Amino acid sequence: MKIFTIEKNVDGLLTALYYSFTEKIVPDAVEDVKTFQPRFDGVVINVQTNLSFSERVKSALCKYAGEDVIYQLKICLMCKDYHSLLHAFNYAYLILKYRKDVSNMMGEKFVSNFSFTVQKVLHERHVFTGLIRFRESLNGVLYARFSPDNDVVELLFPHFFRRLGNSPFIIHDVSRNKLAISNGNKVTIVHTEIPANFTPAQSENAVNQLWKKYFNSVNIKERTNIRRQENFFPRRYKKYCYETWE
Amino acid sequence: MIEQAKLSILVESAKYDVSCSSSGSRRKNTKNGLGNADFGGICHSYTPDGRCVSLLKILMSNDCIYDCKYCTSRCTNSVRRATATPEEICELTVEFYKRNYIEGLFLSSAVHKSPNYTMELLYQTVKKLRFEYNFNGYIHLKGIPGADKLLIERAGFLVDRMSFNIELPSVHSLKLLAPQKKKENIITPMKMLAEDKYFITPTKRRKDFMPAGQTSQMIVGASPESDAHILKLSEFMYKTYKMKRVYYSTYTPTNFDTSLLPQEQSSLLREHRLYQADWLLRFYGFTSDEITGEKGFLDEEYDPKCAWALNNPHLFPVEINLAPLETILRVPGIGVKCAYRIIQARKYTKLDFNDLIRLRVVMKRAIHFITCKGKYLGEKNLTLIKRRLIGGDNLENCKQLSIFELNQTALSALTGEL
Repeated sequence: MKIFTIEKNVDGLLTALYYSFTEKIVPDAVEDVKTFQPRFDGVVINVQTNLSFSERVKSALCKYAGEDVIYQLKICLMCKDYHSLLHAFNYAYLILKYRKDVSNMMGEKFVSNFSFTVQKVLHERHVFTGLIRFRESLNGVLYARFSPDNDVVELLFPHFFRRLGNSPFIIHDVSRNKLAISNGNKVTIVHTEIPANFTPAQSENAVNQLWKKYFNSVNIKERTNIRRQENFFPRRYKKYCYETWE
Repeated sequence: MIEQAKLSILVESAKYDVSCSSSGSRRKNTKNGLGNADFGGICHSYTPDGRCVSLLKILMSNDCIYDCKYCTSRCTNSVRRATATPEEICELTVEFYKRNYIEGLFLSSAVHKSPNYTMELLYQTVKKLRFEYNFNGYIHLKGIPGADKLLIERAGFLVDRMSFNIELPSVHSLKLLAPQKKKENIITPMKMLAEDKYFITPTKRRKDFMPAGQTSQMIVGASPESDAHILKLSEFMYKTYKMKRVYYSTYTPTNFDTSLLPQEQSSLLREHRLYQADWLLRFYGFTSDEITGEKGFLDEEYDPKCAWALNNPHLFPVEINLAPLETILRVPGIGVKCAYRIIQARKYTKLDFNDLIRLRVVMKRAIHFITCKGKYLGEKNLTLIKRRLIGGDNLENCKQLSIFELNQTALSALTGEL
């Protein structure tokens, strides 16, 4: 069993593809070097990221499958699934092998695995466009905490940047200590372990109470269907949604 | 800011309006503005009744001059009354929106003083929201039947979607249960909103006039009309008034003083089946006659597509590698996305059952209606197919065998002896 260990980013992945084609080695597993757990049965090959190799592979992929494929690979790598690196590797490998766009070959296992992994990440991004809850701070900054399964902060902030116009905002992925900070003109991604110091605006409590009141009033008690609610609104997502707090 | 008690009154009166979708519009944010619209729509929360909260659903006023028997806001009903001001609605919408609680506003109203007065109030609110508060989020406005055409048109240029409720599926029921509402007052604005001048192509609306189109809603179970009648009416509205959606609302008893209305809640399953059938009308190329058949009512045991397939066994099984898209769309267990995936995937290779599982086809339903490379793996007997399809729903009647029961079945389960 051959295992590639690489850096979990697009350049690391593309370097691994370059190495695979030049050395004629097809790996059985591709894993993140940071989280790799050594095994008894595998030959481990650590592939160091090389930007010039990755650039060559990138141009080849864009030539065969269009510019969008790099973006899709990036999304696939945002997935927390253990196999996401392997799915991305296999998909890109298939493009280079056939020298054409393979996205419609859904009968191929590699393509469908990749496609559904991408969908999973995009779905969570879509869910959080709705479930993120901002609180206004004393200085007018909107601050939201959340803990997604996948690393979707980078996919989320453009949505709020377009939507909130000039208003400054912060989206804080608590589980990864990752923040998207917007001053109204520009967004910066920051990693920090310092806890956020948040002082709510005076109106915050009143608006929050109105929202809870609204949430309780709009419910039709005669049609209670908790199972359906929980299908759409899993408990792990309720943590930062104030309306569901008792 | 609006008071909690007032909010509660106005929201509780609005909650029976079913529509809460925020899809269909690509409105962009402006400089110094707040908000935009997402074409696919976004759900922001889910209430314990399982419905999503996408828009701030609120009435301008629940102080009504009409006496519609099925409505909580009817003038003869003894409920608390309230009327909000445009400022209160605008302020609340903006405060909720910037905290990402909602996707926009769903503004409706009881007929307060007169249809024109109410429509004017709604128009002023929407205008204020768009021009004073620079709000570019989604707005769904409920039109007031009988209001002036000019007011309706002006409002149409400000909102993303407008709807006039057809309320009940027949003129007879409308006369009986909502005597002050006239069919003409509901139909005329619907017709107006479907005029060609508001469209670029026969199906695509102008960007500046209700880009998300118009919808309607009817109450199911308050009057005796059959599902066939309801679906026929929906089909007609989709074709003639270019509706985006027709919503169905199961009647929830709110009026116990009349013998004209049922005193128990209608079946929620019926409403669910109607929505499924509605989807078949819009996306799967079915007609209402095909779906309801001769019975007039939808089968509650199977979903409408399964029921149709079981009534037409001569059309199945379908070879998945050869059948055209229209036929694949009619196979139970295959949705629109799946059908397109199959069409794309089979260009490169012949598909087998494992490939279909990978393409996310619901095999427990589809397997009885398809062949792959000429192979059929479903049940051969129609009765068995029916039993398999109904299986999931019958689990309540099944029970775990007990080792202490000494009947023959339990004993054979213990010993393995047949």
